[in-house]
Order: sequence, then structure tokens, then C-alpha cells
Amino acid sequence: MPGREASDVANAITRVRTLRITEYENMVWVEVETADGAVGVGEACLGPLAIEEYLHEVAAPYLLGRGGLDIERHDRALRGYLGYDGAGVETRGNGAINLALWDLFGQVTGRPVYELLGGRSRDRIRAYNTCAGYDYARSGGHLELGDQGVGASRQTGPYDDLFATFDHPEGLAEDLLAQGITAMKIWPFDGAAAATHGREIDAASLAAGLEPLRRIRAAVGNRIDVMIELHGQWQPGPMRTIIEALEELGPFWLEDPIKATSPGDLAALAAMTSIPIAVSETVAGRPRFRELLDAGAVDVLIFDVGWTGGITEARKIADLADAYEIPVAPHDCTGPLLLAASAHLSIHLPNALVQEHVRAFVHGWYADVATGLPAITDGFMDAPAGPGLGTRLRPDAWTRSDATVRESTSR
Amino acid sequence: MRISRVDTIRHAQHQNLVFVQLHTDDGLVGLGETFFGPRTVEAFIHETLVPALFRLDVDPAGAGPDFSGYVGYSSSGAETRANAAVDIALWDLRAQALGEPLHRLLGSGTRTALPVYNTCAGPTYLQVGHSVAPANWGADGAGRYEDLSGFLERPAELAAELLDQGIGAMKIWPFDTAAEASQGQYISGPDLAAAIAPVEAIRASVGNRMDIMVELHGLWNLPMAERIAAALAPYDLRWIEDPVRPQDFAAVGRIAAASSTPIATGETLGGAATHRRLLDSAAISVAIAELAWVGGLTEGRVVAEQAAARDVEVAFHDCTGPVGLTAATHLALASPNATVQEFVRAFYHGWYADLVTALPPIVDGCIEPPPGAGLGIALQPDLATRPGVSMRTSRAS
Repeated sequence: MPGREASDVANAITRVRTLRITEYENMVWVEVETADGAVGVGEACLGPLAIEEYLHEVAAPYLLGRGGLDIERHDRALRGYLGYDGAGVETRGNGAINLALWDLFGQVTGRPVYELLGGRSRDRIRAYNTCAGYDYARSGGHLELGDQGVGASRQTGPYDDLFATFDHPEGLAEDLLAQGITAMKIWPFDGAAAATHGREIDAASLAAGLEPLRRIRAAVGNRIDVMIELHGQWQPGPMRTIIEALEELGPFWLEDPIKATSPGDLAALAAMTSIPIAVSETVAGRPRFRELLDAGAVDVLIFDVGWTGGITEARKIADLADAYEIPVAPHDCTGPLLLAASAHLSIHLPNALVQEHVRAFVHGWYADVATGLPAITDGFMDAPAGPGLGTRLRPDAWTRSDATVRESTSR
Repeated sequence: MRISRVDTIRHAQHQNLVFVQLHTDDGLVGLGETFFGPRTVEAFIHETLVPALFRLDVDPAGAGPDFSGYVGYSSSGAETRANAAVDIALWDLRAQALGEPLHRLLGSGTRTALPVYNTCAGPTYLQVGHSVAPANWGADGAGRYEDLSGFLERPAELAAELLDQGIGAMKIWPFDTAAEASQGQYISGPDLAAAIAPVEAIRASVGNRMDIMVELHGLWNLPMAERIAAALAPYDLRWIEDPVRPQDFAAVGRIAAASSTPIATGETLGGAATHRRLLDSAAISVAIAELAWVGGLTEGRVVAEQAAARDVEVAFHDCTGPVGLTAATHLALASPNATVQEFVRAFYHGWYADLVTALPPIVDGCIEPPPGAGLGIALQPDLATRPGVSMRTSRAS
């Protein structure tokens, strides 16, 4: 294009390629390639067919021919007239593009994303284990997600942590501690929520929900932090009952006790208890987080780097939270490149508290499709090594027999 | 009542539009529609909603299903737009099964028609391209009712013509070019004067006989929106629409407090819960809802009721497609706080009529629902076989 620098021509985006793999039916990957042949890869979780379509219908026609390093410009331009205000298909698709562009930036400069963001706030970040099994949330899509509290696991191994939560929580906590992991997340109330649509909880269900945490405390005392995930399935009334019962057991935080659509109701819950309220991986964008922060509804801000639109927006959300003296804890339980992006943010952000991961995924399907995953040793996570996101999709992922590859190209 | 087949239909000449047809095992066909990103919406419908629809037992007298997912529930993203199209089609089905016009299920009875206002777009406005930017206005001056170049080039003449047709309100967006030039960061004095010129010309020629709405499309930062509102204050506008993007409710509240002209906003919001928080945070005068974006008739009705409970007017957006206009007309009749219905005469007398069997009649500047059960309209029977039309079908096994 006329009037452009040589580097603009070299970095112009010439191809956008998407990949879906039948085995991972909630995932879609996107690769952005420049005229120079540099490649950045991103990833999105939930609704992959719709996201794939969005990437080729809207995002790729915009990106092709534009400079691959103008991340900020593209982040603004891809916020459409609609869908800018939530974690919908467009936002999740833009998140995948944003990851790919940061990765591309790293590939072009040879530097890791955390350096490009402004460098480290710490050498490594404490990692907590989300006690899912190997196949948790791998299928089922976004309408059914709330029902996947106790699903049948196809793959088996030492980290069937969802079953362990209910069958032998003492052993689970001890096993995590033996690996150096000092924090764990469980969701023992989801079954009760599904039974009543979160409208009420009886004494027996309450006791059953408390049981894993009681047994963990009896076995290992206060040596492990326990996060309780409620998945936004409860109404405020029964949630107050649950909170009152949980208080003596000292959970580290309560996550999404109710849906994040009523900041006032969340703030009322936050005010009634000393247990920190953590919200919410399902919220996207600064305006919605600011609304929650202003209401006093947040003690720990959880974002999902993909669902909130990418690294660019996640960093701004974290900075916003910092101004309120609120720490952030990036979500995982999605995919390997998203975990890598979160690890870079957790190393960079001054107010990162703790980084989620699922050991059953990191040692399971994440390793099947990606290399260079963030290392976790003694309960702490490092940023992945190497330029860009560091974590790479295995090259043979694109040529698997169950792969669907689509491309938009300017050539 | 079981759903046995789901069609999504797209049209090459209307690249932002997608229709949904829900077929039941007893031969009824419910019609829905949404706008923007139709391929993405179509993919979501067949990927996620179709399996749930085939499991559904539709109760004509009952409530619709809740398809709000784990993510994307609070915006006008593809999920919400797809849910909206399906929700409208389900309402159409239920009303047909009961043999009642849709507005009666929604609670009409106080009136039979509502005045319209003309959104001054041309026949090809937004028919291609994924943007509301001036580059995508399609204002080539051709075709009947090229009202976009009309309001820019001959506003007084356009106002007089509308009044002659019995239409007493018009909406224009003369500030968008200046917004695009600065990405909404700055408007100069001369640009401000140039954008106000059409408003001045209309007032000078037809006085206060014409209600004028100025649409700002959420393109401005707060201080520029305040500057524009101050400059428009002398012209007694019916409302200023979307002065800022309604994502930061406090910013909407500040412009609403600063402007003597009523502020209308909300067409780009998804979900009644989002509208509720906006209404609680900002003293707006008119809640705008687009049924195809907010989540359908179910969510749109809640928006109307929430607004009514706060003595705020509700107005349903058009400028999208014929099904959306028809659904909006049914709901507007049933919403006592709706006082005017948007339409685009260039669409209404142009391509809308080409795609569907009937439209809500407009007589003396007032719109009423078409006769018959349900929405009262269907797709033209030959539409799916026309050139440029593609239909994707999922059938229950």
C-alpha cells in the first residue's frame, strides 16, 4: 500500500487460518500470518463453529492487508456496533485474534509477551488447582456448562480430581500439598443448584455441599487454601444460607455466588461476609467490571483472557482493578494458549494474586495439542519460555484426520 | 408441540439479515429474524440452539425456553441475536397455535395503531458491510426514498414531503461524518454548524410541526456529546439518541443530566438486565430496544415494563428487517409507554415488501399489526429458491 514503511509491508496480514479438532469440540484456534511469513496463534473456547464463522465473516476481512503489529488499533476497530458489552461470540473471537497478534508481536521481536507488556512484576506466580477431571467441560457447549459438576470421565489417570473432590477430598488435598500446590478450587454445591435452579437449599444438601471442605480442613487444617466455585447458579436467598454455613470453614474465596448481572445483590453478599467474593470469568470489558467494582461487589476480580476479548483488554481490566486496590486472578479451564496468555499476564501484572490451572488438563489434553506449556514447580507457575506466548500448538494439529481448517487470504 | 425442522435463510442483497423458520410436527411455521453477522448467527443456531430446540416441548400458553448461556448472556453478541430470532419465531408459533394475533398474547387492548417516525435512510442503507460508518451508508442517490442524501442535501423538502404523507416525526444522523473523521474525539465549530444545518433548515421551513430525532450512533466521547447536545438545545428535538455508547452507564447519566433535550438510548444493548441497570443509573427519557438484538419479544417486553415502572418511554428500533418491524409493532401496541414506532419508508415501500407476504399497514402515519394469527406475516413462498438466497436446514432425526 502507498505511503507505508517497509516494515508495514512485511508485517501486513496476508492470511487468517482457523482450526477445529473434533476431539476438542469446544475449541477453535486461529493463526495470523504476515507477508514476511511470521505467524501468531490464538485460541478461543466455547461455540467454536460460530466463532470460526465470525472470524471469517467479520474479523479476517478487516484484518487482511492491515499491519500485524497495530494491536491496539485492531482491538478498538473489532469492537462492533453490537456485542461489545459481553463475552459473546464476537468478543471471544476477538480474544483469539488478540492472542494471535500478541504472539505475532513476540515472534517478530523475539521477545516473550510478558516483556512486551512491560516486564515482570514477579518471577513466578502461585498456582491453584481447579479440581476438574481430564475431560471436564471438553464437550457439551455453553448451554450445558452449568450441569457439568459431576460428569463421567473418559480418560483416567492420577488426576481425576473431580471425583476425588467427593470421594476422598482428604487424599486430594494431601496429594496437592505433596506437589507443593497450596490452593485448590472445588464446586460442591452445583448438584444442589441444578436440582432447584438455585432457588432453595435444604439442610441435607447444605451438609453435603460442606462435606468436602470439612474433610479437607480435618485432614490438612489450614495448610491449603480452598476456593468455592458456585458458577452463578444461585439466587441470593439460598446463597446467604450457604455463605453463613461456609464461614467457619474459612474458604479462600467464593466465586460467582450469583450471576454477575446484579451488582447490587452481589455487593450485599460481599457486605455480609468476610469471605472474599470473586467475580467473574463470564464478565467482559471494563465498563461491566467498573460497574461491579463501583458497587463494591468484587474482592478478587476474575477475568478470562479470551472471554473478555484478549490480552489487551485483560490488562486494562487489571489496571482498573488495581486502582480499586483489588487483585486479579486469571481464569483457566479453557485451553493451553489461553493458559499461556494468562501466565504472561500473571507474571506481568502488579496486582495478580494467583493463577488458575487444571493439572488434569496441563498433564492431559493441553500437552496433547501444545508444547512449551507454563512449567509448574513447587506450586508456582513460570511464564512459558520463548518468544510470544511461548506455548505452541503442535504442528501436526493442523493435519490431524479430525481437523477442520479454513482460511481467509489476501493472496 | 414439537419442532421438527429449523431453517436459516440469508439473502445476498441483504447481507446483514438472517431469517429463522421453526417448523412444527403439526405443520405450523414460526418466523424470526435478526441483523448483523448473519453467517455467525446461523452457525450458532445450528451448532447450539437446534439441538435444544429439538428437545423442546412448546407449550402455546407457556413461557419460552431460557437459552442464555454461560457466556455471552449480557450483550447483543451473536448468541443473543440468535436467541432473539428464535424467540420471535417461538412467539409467532405459540400465537398461531392459539389462533390469536401476537399483540393479544402480549397484552394489547388499549389502542389499535401507533404513529410512526421515519428513519431517513435510503433503500440500500446497511445492506452490505459490517458497519454503520458513513462509508457503508450506501447513499448513492438512487432508488425511491433516498432519504439519507435527502436529509443531508434537501432537508426542508424531505420534511415537507413526510408531512404530506402524514408522517410527523423523522430521525437523521448528520454528525456521523465528523465523528468518523476524529474517531469521535473532537468536533470543530464549523463541523458542528454544518451538522446542525439540516435541523435548522427543517425548523425554518416547517416550524414545530415536525418532530426531529438526532441519532449519534454512540460515536462520541462524553465532552463532545455534551457539546453537541448543547448546540442542539435550541431546536426542541424530540430526542437525541445514543450520544455515547451506552456501555458506561455513568457516562450516559452525565449526558442525560447535562442535556435539556431528552436522551434516548439502548438499541445496541443485550438483555433486559442490562437495560434495568442503565435505567437505574442514568436518567434517560426513552429506552430504545431492538427486539432482534436485545433477545427477542421476551426480553423486549421486560425492557418495556421496566421502563414503564420508571415512567420512561420505550421505543422499538427498526432499520433491520420486516419481521423485526412486525414484531415491534405487536409489542409496541401492547406497551402503553410506547408512543411512536420507528420505520424506514425506503425499506418499507422497497425491499421489505419483496421478502414477506404482508407488512403492518401504515395509514395516515399510523402503524397497526397485520391481520391474522401470530405475527401475521410469512416469508414469500418462493424466497428460498430465488437467486442469491441460501437456506440451511436442520431436521429432527
